[in-house]
Amino acid sequence: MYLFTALVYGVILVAGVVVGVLSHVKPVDLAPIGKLLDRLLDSRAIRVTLVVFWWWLGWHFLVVQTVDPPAVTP
Amino acid sequence: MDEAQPEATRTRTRRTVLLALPWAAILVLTGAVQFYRGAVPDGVVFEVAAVLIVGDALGWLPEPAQGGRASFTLLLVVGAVAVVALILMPRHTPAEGVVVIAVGVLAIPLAWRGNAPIPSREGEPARRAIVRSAVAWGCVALATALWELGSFVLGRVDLAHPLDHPAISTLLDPVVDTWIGRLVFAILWVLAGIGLLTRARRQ
Repeated sequence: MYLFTALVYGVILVAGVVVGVLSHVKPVDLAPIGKLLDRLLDSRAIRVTLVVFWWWLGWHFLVVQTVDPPAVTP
Repeated sequence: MDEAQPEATRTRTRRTVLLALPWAAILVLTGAVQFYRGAVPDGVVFEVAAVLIVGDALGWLPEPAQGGRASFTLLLVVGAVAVVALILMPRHTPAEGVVVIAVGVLAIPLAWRGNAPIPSREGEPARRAIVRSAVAWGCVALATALWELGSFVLGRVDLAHPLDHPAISTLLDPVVDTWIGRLVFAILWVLAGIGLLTRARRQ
């Protein structure tokens, strides 16, 4: 089950890479993420939401103990 | 003043509110998940952000002063200092927390103030391409969020096999725990932040 769960994350990552590549190969059909961000970031609500999520990633991975350290057995 | 002006303002306000609501809902839901997993400060950050963007859309908050924007070079210098500090401070310590909070204290007001929106000049085909891109990236983001949430809930429910349902944090934690992994993460994190803060100016 662990492998399956990790595999699905991998599939989603690959899907993201495919969308990114497609948008650069066929920008007329699928706008590159930069163009999309340019449009989205015009809105303060979206700008602040994305920056809060971005900040939280730093907080989550660098500051907060999100994964229990391995138990030390005597 | 012509009579069309108040109507145009009302339409703009309605649009601003309608645009803000889905994003506020995302923040509220994310905050609720943080409370559920016991991360109260994280939950408070998301909920406060949701209240602020709704309050702003409704016009309850004062408009921030314009001008005096941080230059790209200044952001790069501050970002480089932040990366060095993040690497020097031990992970999961109050000192690391101070650095990350300082970055947020600098970044979020800049995002709030933002840049004056530039009127869209793209034609209908370009607009459609942007909508398709938004749908595609939205699907990727939604799939990530749902799978992460599902794994988290299953990990809480399936007490016999909690490790069978890893969250993204569980998978990435061993990588970020290494010196090089933390360096790469810190650099990518800072660059992503600078990119978000400066993106609109590149139009």
